[in-house]
Amino acid sequence: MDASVANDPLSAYRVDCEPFYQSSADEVKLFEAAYAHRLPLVLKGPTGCGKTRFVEHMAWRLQRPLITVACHEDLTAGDLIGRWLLDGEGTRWQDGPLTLAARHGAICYLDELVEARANTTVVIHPLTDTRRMLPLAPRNEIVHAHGDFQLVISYNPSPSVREMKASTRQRFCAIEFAYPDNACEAAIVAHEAGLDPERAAAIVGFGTRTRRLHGIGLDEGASTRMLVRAAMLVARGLPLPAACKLAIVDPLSDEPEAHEALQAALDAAF
Amino acid sequence: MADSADAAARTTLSHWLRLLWNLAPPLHLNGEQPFIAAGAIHLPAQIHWQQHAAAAAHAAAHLVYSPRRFDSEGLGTIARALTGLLEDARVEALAVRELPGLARLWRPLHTATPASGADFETLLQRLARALADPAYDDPHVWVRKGRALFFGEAGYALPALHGAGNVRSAAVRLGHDIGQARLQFNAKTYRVAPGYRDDHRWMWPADVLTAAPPPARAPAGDTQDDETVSVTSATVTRHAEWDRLIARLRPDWCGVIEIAAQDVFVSSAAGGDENLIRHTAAQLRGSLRTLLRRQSAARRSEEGEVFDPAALVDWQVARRRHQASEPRVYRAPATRAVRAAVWLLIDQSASTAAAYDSDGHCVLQTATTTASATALALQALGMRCTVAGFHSNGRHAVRMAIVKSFTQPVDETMQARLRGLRPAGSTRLGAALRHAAQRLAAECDEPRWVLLISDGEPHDVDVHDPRYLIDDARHAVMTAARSGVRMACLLPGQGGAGPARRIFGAGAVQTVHGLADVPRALRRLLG
Repeated sequence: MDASVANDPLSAYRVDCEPFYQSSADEVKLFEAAYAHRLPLVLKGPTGCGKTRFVEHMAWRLQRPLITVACHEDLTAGDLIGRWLLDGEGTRWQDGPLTLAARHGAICYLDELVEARANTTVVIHPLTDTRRMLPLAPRNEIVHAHGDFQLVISYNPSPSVREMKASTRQRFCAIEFAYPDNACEAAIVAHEAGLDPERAAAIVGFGTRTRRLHGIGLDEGASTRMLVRAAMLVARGLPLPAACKLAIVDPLSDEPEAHEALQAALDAAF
Repeated sequence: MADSADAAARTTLSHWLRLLWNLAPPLHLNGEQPFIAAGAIHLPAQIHWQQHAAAAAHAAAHLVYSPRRFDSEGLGTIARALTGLLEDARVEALAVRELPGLARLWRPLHTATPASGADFETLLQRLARALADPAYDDPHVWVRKGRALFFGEAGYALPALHGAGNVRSAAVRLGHDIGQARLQFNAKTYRVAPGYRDDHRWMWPADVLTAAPPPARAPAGDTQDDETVSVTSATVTRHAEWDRLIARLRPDWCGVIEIAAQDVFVSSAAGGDENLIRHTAAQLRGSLRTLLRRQSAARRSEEGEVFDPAALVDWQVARRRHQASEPRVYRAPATRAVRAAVWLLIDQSASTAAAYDSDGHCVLQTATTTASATALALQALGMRCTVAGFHSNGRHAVRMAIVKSFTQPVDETMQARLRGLRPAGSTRLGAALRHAAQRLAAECDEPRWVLLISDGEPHDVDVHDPRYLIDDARHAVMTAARSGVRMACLLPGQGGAGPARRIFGAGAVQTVHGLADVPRALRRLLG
């Protein structure tokens, strides 16, 4: 094992170079204020609007390691806090990502926490109030959170996902995210994909149109991430309509009516 | 089939207009020539995507870019036809500037050429083409003049005419030339060409007189009274009823008559509803998926949360004997998919005829839409469900109309039968719940649920004690729970949840204020 890794269990989680993030309001200031008091944060917003990128950017800005866990329905408490493992000598305790972050002082980012079941989400409760500790029942240990530890979770409020329990919800401060306005989004798309501003604006124009079907024919309109991908394809040489079909129209919907309408709108847009 | 194709075409077009301009005008596929009336777009009945799309986009462009009215004062028929033409070209040019691809839709439909003739109507078509297609060059002096007036000095990119006043004065000048050339024009037989363009009736208030309202198709069987349904093929099942005063069950007290629900095929503007149902069903899948999960007995696994002590001992013993050790030392509470059976029970008593929302839907319509979306979602998850409506008229006549049985698919027939449910009679809830529970108890699927969609409290014509039927229904719910059938209630609208809470328990009742609330409500009920 590398000596530096042995000394710094979080070295793999450090963010070395600045992740690009275009601020659209005062979210950076809000995050810094919350971090100053180590207040747990929930980032609310539609899919692909930049929540994860924002956390990466803030981790870099605050010079803290970032441990990300993508939550899902089968995530167990053990997946977060750790578990006993077997090896040749007997049993050995392995810290989970949440324990690792709390013990050594990282930002722990639980992506889409509501996807996890309620018996899993309750393990974060003692970390998110004044106790700031994590009881490891299987190991009979209490981990007091490191001074630099902060918990950030993300959440995409929509009727098709679980609701967050009030007892969990009230432990967090919240920053609300939305898709940036057209000019700002075009700048992001142009920067991320290395595309000229005119064509980036055209892709964003079409992407914004798809969001008008939100809740009517589509669960969600095209995310900024989708638009960036379309722009990357254009930058590589694909024509605009073909790139938008590949990256936006075809992935967005399987319903024939919505798909046909999207295709016709794409035909009209370029 | 024609109806479903019709609805699909309408849904696609309405999605498309929303994508283009965030517009949601009512769409009617019922005319011969397209027209706009009262903000609604009327398109030809025959389905042809390119014609429809061209017509819908053109009409929507008017809704976006045109003034609401034109002043017809002092304009002759020729000047009015020209005003319409210039305004058509103006809104199309503005639309093409925003959405360049629309030009590919419209231009191929302009087919007039100098060889088509030089009478006034043909000249109109040639001018329309000259304004729509920069690549088309018409030698006719009047057409060239029209094009120059329309585009000015700025080339063929954008119209120089701005607003109704400009359009009017250009039309008057061009009309004057037609008058000078003594060209004939019969306004009565004139049809706007190309055929995708609307007939301009929205421009001239006086002309609206000729506009007929869209022909409403008479819904077949709409007047059919539920009471006329033949009971000859129906089966009557007797159920007990709980009498709170004597604290006893009265055996075989109520008769539940099971009948097949009647189909009503209505080709009304159901496209939006179907779309909404499908969308809600997609969202409901997440809520209903909880029915799929059940924990089975713990077993040994290679990975898991906690060690199985016996397996650990075996492992250690095997190791010390230098034998191959069994790697499955964890206890894994595995989930396995189970098939739930759900009975969706719709209260169709007379009180459900009450208005539910400002769109004119009644409570029963909301309940059937909810049931339709839920049944669709259950089918998508591979779970079985029965949909039934019920109402009563005394204890011997609790009618249960089976809309869909466990074995029938969710299809157009089910939708038609749901539309055929009519508000009637009273709500003898206990008997209906017992009947559903009895039928469900015969199913071997687990878990088993009765989901009631009702507007409030039970009532019947032969019962005067307000608590009697509530207590009976409460008894039915508790009895069903003992036989493994769980019950919950969705309350559409503002009605008081008090009686329902007493019957089902507070945790098993959710009030919904629209279809959008249903996924969340079901998650709370079933989760």
